[in-house]
Amino acid sequence: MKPINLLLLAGFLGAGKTSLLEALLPELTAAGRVAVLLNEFGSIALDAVRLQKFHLPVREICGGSIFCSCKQADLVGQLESIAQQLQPDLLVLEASGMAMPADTSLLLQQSYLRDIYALPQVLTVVDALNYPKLADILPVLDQQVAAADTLVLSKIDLAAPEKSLERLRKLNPQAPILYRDREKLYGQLQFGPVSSRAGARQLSVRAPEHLTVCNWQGEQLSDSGLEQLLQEFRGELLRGKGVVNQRRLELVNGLWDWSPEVAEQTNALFFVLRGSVNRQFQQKLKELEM
Amino acid sequence: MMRGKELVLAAINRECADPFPWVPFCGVHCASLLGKSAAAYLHSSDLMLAGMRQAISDYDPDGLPVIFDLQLEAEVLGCQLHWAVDNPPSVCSHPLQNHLSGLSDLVLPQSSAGRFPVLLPVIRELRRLYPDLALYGLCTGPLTLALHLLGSDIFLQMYDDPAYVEELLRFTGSCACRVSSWYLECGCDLIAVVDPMTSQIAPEQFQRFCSPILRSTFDYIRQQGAKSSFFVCGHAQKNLPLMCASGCDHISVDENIPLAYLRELCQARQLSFGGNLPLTTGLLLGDEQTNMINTIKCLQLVAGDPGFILAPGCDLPYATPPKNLQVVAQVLRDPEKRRIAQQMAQNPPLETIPKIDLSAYIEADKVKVAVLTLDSRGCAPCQYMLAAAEAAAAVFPGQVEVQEYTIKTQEGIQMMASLGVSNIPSICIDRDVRFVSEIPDQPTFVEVLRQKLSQKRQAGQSGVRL
Repeated sequence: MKPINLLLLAGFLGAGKTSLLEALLPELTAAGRVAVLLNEFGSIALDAVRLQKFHLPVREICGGSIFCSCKQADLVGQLESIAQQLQPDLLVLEASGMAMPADTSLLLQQSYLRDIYALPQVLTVVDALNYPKLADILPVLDQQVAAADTLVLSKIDLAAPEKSLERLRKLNPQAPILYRDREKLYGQLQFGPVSSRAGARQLSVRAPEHLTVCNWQGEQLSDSGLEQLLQEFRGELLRGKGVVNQRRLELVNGLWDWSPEVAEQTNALFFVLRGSVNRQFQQKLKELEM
Repeated sequence: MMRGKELVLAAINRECADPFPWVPFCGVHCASLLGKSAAAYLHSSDLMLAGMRQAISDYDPDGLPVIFDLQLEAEVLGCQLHWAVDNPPSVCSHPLQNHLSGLSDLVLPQSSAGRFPVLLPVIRELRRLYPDLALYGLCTGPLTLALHLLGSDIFLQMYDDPAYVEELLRFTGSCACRVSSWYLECGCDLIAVVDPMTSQIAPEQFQRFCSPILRSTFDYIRQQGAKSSFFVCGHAQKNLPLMCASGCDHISVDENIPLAYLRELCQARQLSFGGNLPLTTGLLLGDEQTNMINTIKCLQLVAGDPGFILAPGCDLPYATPPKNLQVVAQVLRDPEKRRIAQQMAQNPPLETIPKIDLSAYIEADKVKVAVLTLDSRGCAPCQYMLAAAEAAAAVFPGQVEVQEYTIKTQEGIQMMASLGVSNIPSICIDRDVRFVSEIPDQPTFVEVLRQKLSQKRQAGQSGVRL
């Protein structure tokens, strides 16, 4: 059976996810059967009422964010039920404001749902008014930006986009940025299979002279020391991956996560760094060897 | 051997030895054990008591939280709740949203308000019935309660009006202290401050807004002569060093946090720690084998640490299959089960193993008994399982064929995968998984074989192939 396409709509509360969805739905529904799954954080799903006019199946996960492990059960249950009962061509998952798109992808990959749903295409809405204030307070906002296939900078009639743009470009140089005010969306969204853009999303491309590569292979590294090192260099770390102490590292634009234990016995790490800190980083990495 | 409260407190004091304490975080999952909705359960002292007693009977825990509902305080303070069948309630209105000045009107909760009169007698009765069980009183953490009261505007206020947020957190911290005092008076042994929202903010904000309030809350609990735990689920990694410095005695995290990293931090500070059995992919959606492997991986990561408590790290989903929790306790305490789990963890995942074509496995006039074991020569339950099969087969000479498949061999692993067995030792009759971790008595086993042979004879006469 053909996997169901998944559009993950991310962005902080009030960024304008639902109004963007309202703007997109006429086009999306013209292309096939669409279902919507809403995950409101901390309130009942009022957005469902706004979407009634489209006469679409709209499901809800209320009362928590998918960031919490105990709430993932609800997401899994709804994804399973939608696949069985509705069998849409496309599911739009409007995530809660605190949701990390990477968690949703990981959950899909680690469960039986991987055979039912395609990897999500991530559309992140960034609020030009509040993002400059909130980004340093809520790390999840940068995670949402970094994971995006496409960025929509909203409320540009209320705040100058320049305040957000530099940070967005630094976090995700690949994703096209569209603009939105209260009236309309400027630019055309491109939808397509995620696999065609996954490579681009994984590695940001910058001018070669600004990038250096650091490889490490050895026995073991101090877990806490490595964590501190990544924190220290997070601004310069563009990409990192590999296995150490039976854990797999995935780092994109200064944001990283560890997968549970892996079978690989070889400890090896690979990093791409910005600027001229490579030697310093390599030296500190070497000092962490146990 | 230490058990229960004594074992939990030993771990909190970093004086525990393997087997570690086992604390399944049964919240509304207890309602599912009774076949009741979460909403009905959380409004009834009788149901809560019955659900907890069922969980104690089913899971043989060393400790339990008496309720896992982070909306109790919020409800008393004026938040409206949205109730669900299979979830704790959620907050759907925030009294301070668009009404910041309302903070000065808020008063600390009373024990006679909201659902506290339903809960507090349950704690007293549990204390009376189970004097040796560690009872955790869970209070809503200061930041999470502040979010309930103000809504997500709290994050903007951290930027626009940090003094207001500090004042709000002083209030919610006082709520935590007050609620803790009731729980301790009723007989709880530990207070867990549950503050999942702290995993969502940056270290700078954690240090500024949360650290002072958490420290005073944990100091208060210590002054009451009790131990404290800090429960945080989600991606709390960046804040873990600050959590460790918050003054709590124990930290509990979910599977988002690498246990080895938490262990390193806690060892350095001589703190107790716990977690982090995978909740959704393991306990809810996985099978017994998955959870045996997850358990043994946790135990291997913390081996030798005197401060570990085995727990899921977050509230168990309502519909968690009980067998998945039971197997955790078995691996923890039963050396044979642990050896089986160790072997399973070394084997490749069953779903990646090429299946054996079993289409010709079943014979028309003979019953095949497959005994899936770790190894009957070195595993006592496996030995008895095999002996039971052979004794029953001896009643039907030439008609029943018994074969042991040990998961130490490639053939055994393939057979296990092909027959759909997820727990060891198990017995399959023809292709059906018939006995799982249960050694059948002789009359039962003989009767099962007799029926199977009878079916085959009837099928043979009618030309049907079973």
